[in-house]
Amino acid sequence: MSKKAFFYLVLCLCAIGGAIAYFVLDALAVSLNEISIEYILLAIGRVGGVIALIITIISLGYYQKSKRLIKHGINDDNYDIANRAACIASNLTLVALPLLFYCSATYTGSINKLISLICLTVVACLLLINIFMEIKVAKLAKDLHPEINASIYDMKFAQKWNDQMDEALKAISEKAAFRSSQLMFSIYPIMASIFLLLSGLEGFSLLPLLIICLLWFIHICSYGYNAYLVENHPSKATK
Amino acid sequence: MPLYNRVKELRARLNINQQELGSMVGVSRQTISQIERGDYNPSILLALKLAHVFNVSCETVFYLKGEFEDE
Repeated sequence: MSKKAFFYLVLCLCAIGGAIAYFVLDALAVSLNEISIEYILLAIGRVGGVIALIITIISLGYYQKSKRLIKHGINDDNYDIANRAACIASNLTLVALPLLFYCSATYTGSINKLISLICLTVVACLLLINIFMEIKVAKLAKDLHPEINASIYDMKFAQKWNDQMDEALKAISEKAAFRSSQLMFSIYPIMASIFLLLSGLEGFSLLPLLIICLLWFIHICSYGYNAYLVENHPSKATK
Repeated sequence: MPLYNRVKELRARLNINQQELGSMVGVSRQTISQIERGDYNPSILLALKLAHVFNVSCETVFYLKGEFEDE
């Protein structure tokens, strides 16, 4: 591991450790009887917000690295490095988005407090930064793949990008999609079991269980239908 | 059984970069890079196109372990 990477890793661990320590100490200061599920959900959102901040900073670093390499000129030696950095920057910004969405929701309930308003503003700014970064990284990806001519401002950019990918990029995309599907199929029953047990507690509704089961149902129907199409009607599956 | 290739060596003989070779066979630079590193095995169609560009047989470009050393 390089010195720079080690420095960023230590920085991240300190920030995460600090955030967790803050919430733990805050919880200890409160009577144990007063800790409710609501407090835990809020704490998860705040920690998620801190993680999203760290992720945004790291993705900015990778974006700058890729942009610098492209600006100096792409050749056979640095193409893989630039491509990898752009890929990491894109994936990190996508990872930060759900964390920021949930974190913003934990502040909207107490928006009348000044500190909550400030935190909500910071979270909203981070959200905008990540969305803006995603657009910028898409432009970098277009520089790295000049054979793809879809406009990044097109609503169907992702679809057009997929249609113009060559065989290797399609293989990567399909493998990644399959692996993530397999992971989700193992996570759904675990989460459904947890929410099923929690639904027996007073004050815990069936809504989280309903949402997980609904997502599980949609995902598995979609996967089954597409698997059937690919196997039995391949010409329809390519449309 | 892993598949080996001489794409980088043959490309250097033609004095073209990965982007140019990719354009000639209709794939991206990333695909050529992955083939050269051995991270991706091309389809038959792409393998034939590459062999056609290099003006050699497909078996000269791609080979299984042990085959090339025997020649």
